[in-house]
Amino acid sequence: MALDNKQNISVGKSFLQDSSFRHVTGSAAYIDDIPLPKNCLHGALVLSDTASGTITSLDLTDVKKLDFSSQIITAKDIPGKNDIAPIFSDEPILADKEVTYVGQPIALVLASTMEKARLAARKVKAKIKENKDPILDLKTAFKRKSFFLKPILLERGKAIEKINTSDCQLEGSFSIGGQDHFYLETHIALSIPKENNEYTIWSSTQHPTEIQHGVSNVLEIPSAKISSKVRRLGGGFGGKESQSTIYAAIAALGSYISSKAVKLRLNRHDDMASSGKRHDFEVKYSAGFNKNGKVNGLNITLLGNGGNVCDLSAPVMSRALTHLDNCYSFKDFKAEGFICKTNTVSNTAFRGFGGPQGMLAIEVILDSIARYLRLDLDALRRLNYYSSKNGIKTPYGQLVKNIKLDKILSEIEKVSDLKKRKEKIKKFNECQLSQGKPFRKGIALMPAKFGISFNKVSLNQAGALVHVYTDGSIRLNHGGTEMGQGLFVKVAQVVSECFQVPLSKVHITTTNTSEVPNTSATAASSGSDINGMAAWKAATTIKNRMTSHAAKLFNVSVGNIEFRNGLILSGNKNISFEELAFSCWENRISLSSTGFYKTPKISWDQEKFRGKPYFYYTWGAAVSEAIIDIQTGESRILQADIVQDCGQSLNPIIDKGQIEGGFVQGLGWLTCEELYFNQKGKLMTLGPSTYKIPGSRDVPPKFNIKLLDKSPNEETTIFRSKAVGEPPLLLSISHFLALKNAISMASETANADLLSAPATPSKILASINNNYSR
Amino acid sequence: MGKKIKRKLEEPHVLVNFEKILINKFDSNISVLNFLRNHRDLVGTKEGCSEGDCGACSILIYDKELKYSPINSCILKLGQIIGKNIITIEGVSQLKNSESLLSSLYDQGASQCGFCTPGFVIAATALKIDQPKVNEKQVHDGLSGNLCRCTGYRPIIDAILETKEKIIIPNPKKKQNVFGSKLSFGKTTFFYPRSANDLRKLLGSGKDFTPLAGGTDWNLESADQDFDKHDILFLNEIDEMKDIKIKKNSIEFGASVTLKRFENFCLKYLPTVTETINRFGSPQIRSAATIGGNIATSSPIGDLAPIFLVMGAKLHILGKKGLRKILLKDFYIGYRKNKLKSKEIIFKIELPKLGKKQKVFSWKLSKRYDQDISTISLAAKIEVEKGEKINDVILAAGGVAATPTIMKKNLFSN
Repeated sequence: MALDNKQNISVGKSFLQDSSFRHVTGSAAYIDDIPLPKNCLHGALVLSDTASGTITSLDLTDVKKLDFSSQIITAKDIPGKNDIAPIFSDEPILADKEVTYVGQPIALVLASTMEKARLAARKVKAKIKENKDPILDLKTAFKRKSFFLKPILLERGKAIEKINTSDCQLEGSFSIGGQDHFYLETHIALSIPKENNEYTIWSSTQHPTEIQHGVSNVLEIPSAKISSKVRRLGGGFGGKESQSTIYAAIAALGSYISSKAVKLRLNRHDDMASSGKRHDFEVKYSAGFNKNGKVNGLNITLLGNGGNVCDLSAPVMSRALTHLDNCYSFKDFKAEGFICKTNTVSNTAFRGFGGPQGMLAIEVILDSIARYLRLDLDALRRLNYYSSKNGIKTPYGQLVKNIKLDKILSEIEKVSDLKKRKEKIKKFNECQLSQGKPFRKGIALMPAKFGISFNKVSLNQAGALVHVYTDGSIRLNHGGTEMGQGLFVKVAQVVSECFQVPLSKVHITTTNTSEVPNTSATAASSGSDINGMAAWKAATTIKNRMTSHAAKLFNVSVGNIEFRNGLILSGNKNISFEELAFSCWENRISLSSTGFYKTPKISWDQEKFRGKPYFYYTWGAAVSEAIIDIQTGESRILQADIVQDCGQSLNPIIDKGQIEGGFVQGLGWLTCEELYFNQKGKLMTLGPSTYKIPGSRDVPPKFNIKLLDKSPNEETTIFRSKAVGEPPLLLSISHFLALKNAISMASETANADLLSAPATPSKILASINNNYSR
Repeated sequence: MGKKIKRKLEEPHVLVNFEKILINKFDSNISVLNFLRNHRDLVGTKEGCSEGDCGACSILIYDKELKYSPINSCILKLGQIIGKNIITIEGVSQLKNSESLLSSLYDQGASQCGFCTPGFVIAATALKIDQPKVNEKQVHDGLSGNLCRCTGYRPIIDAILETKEKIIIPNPKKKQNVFGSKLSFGKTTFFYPRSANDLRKLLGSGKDFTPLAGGTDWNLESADQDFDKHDILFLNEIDEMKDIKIKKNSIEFGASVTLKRFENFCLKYLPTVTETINRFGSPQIRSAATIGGNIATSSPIGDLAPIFLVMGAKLHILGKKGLRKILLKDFYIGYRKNKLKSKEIIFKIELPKLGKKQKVFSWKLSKRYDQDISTISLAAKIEVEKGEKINDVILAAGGVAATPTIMKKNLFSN
């Protein structure tokens, strides 16, 4: 197939993110930089200060005292449905009567400037009758059986029986913290009303179609009248998959009521208080295994904090459950996932989408088993890896084909020099111990398998629209959004490759639901897989028409026409791409086409929790070296080596950027990023002064990234590439395991198994001192 | 007034990328960020957090002591930069010799979503001013006020390391702007005393002033407060308050000496505490924040306090009647409370010189190494006899009580 084309003009080469130059000169425009329409109003939100209660009234006395006018809009002003839930219908954009978390939007305030809108919003006094005993954490929710949906059960074989009949058993529990996305650009939407009830909505979103649906539902206006657009996001990471719809719909409501354009830009505080985050989890397990480390049975309970509404929590839990196996074959396996309903902000999609929680769970469990047996974790893993001997069937029924573990592991061991460094570290620790010094090091490997495709089959589709103009320039549009991950340049490379013209000929355009409709979110690492393929199909349709025309011009058969380096050739005849495009127009041949792609070979039964949800798996491995100070609990990462399977990479520099960035984001999740809620359920870490994401010094000083060589995807993905957005984040778990190793070297009494995520200095210290941290 | 020199009264203005912009008729106390984005259409400078922690809003500001240094425009008020030259990302990208830095950043793939990038370019430019080569530690120090959520920083770090060309930004023309003694931004009025005398008069004028210098705390804290009328006493135009005087037995710092200048001082005279000062906020914060402000804000953690406490710092406090002096250890009286009376400001901070046998050390523990609030900060003054016997130790800590505290011996014995 043409996708395996070897003489590449664009694909497989390192082109930079499409806007790189505009980024470094400050000339790339984000939503907040768009010049505003005349009389545009600015919005600010009134947020609930109560975790659970009933709104009795809005006191506007103080607003009326202000020396400027403002408009207050509440749920009562909504002409359509007050619901933008992506799956179920339980998610109001503005609280109507009940408030269900601190930070929930209650009202929109409009004024002529943002400062005035925010000032007026502060003057609105929402009177809320507080309910007793709100549910503020997972343990309380579990105790009080506060759940969304029924628990999701994943069961294969006879786990309990196998555990009980094993030589050894181990039980344990630990918690995994949430994470704020901390995209640098906060949520923002600009709603512009037009004639005949049309709306243009600019918003920073990963899912323009859901914005369109949300606005359509809230305003009761047909989707066809709503154009949802976004040129670029200042970061998304999942935080703008479903969450941006809330703010876009509120902005649209504001412009519906005021008949003016409305911009709603959240400040960091309101963004962090009101929008969803990564699910925090509690993990409980019992395991049965042999003395040599072969796991016979596992029973795992996952509690995931859904927050106040269900949002995407069910698919997040599904992905957590389907990644509990990571790279290991468990024949007798039981896992149950409870999506807990609490009075805290709704948790949502975040890079990895439950996968990281599931994989951290199993890695910590295996690490604890290895520690219990005093075995090397890597030796224990080897006994349990998917293989023809151990089995290749996942607990949910999909067969793990094309396993790349051997190749990845031998590569990572080579790149990281793992054996020698283990020895060195052992000596270092002995030396520190014998000299009474406070430093300890740890090193750990982490293999990772990650399933690619949305678990929900229907989401695995994409569209593209390609125009060729008579001057030979090409306009490309597709349903994917550019949030920094380099999707636009990758898809443009595909189109450039198809026509065999330089990348600069392909003009990249704003994502717009009026150009390509009914799109899926740019999520699940699927962006280039599905949009690239849709664009390839659109371009190929046009190319086939151009080929037929060229064949006529040259009077040869279609099979003799070749597109190469901007020319269309046949024997010694040739014509430039521009000339052919013009000639096609002259001869009344269409130079525009849509393209549509749906991922093949996937199926899923959510009820039975069985099927083949993933088109393929990506593989990766990392080795991290950590150092801790046993007196203070401070830690650092000293080195990270990564080998990642990107298939035949579409663009190595972009993929490398995803690997580095994802890994560091994972480090933040597991070390310094700590969400702290007070006793009233109010999030206290509402900005970067208290919520700490990694800084430049927190990156491994030695950071070696390698894309797995000669590893084309066995499945027919676009140019045999593989998805890369989320998988590298999981590899940061290697650092968490390295920290546990370092802790266990602190003293005789240190208890590495006490460590929960994030491994802050106080938790590391508690673990060293064998105390439970608060 | 004795001498009568008529100086030309210039209209209040700021220089933005060397272009003179007159400042009048603003109906609120706007930030420099707001001014740039909404009044000058210079939208390359971004708002990421509005609390001076993410660096997306970074610009360069010229000041005669530090030349160009990076600063957060989100927590900087327009009233604080009258007469100054600021350089924005638009200005940097026009500089001839910034090209090599910009193209390294470009070539390395140092941007993904790009939202933080202008701020990083500013921070990197600050590092490269007159510096053909910087090392890795300098890069981390220089970037400690900038957050990136996409790249994992590695390409940014590499791009700066590989840039061999230094950046030169010309100094603005000599300041001649004496633009009057006050300026209003809506209900907020900035008063600009230019001498201790001016200051004393204003303190005695009966007005209820908010003293302001760097504003890294107050501009953040006041963002959500509503004022009917608000008078700001701006302390950065008084030369005496920006002096560092080395006397026979002590060093006197004007209270408006910035942390950056204090850091430079420490590098030379107190190298053992430089690491702590270097971890104080970020370069952007240290260009603005003042030592007087850090003491007056009386945070229980304030990173300077433990060092000043063990050194026996003395505060010179100015009121309408003149100066009074008080030891820092007697200054703090409770959580964010101190002995400043209303209409008093910290004018100078006097640090006794260390004896030959004395050394001062400091430590900071935080969740993240850079730009984080201390969990605990600690300072020690140690007197060593002949390099082996410790004669005396004074310890002070932040983050352990309602105020920074000198630790008494019985803290250990109990």
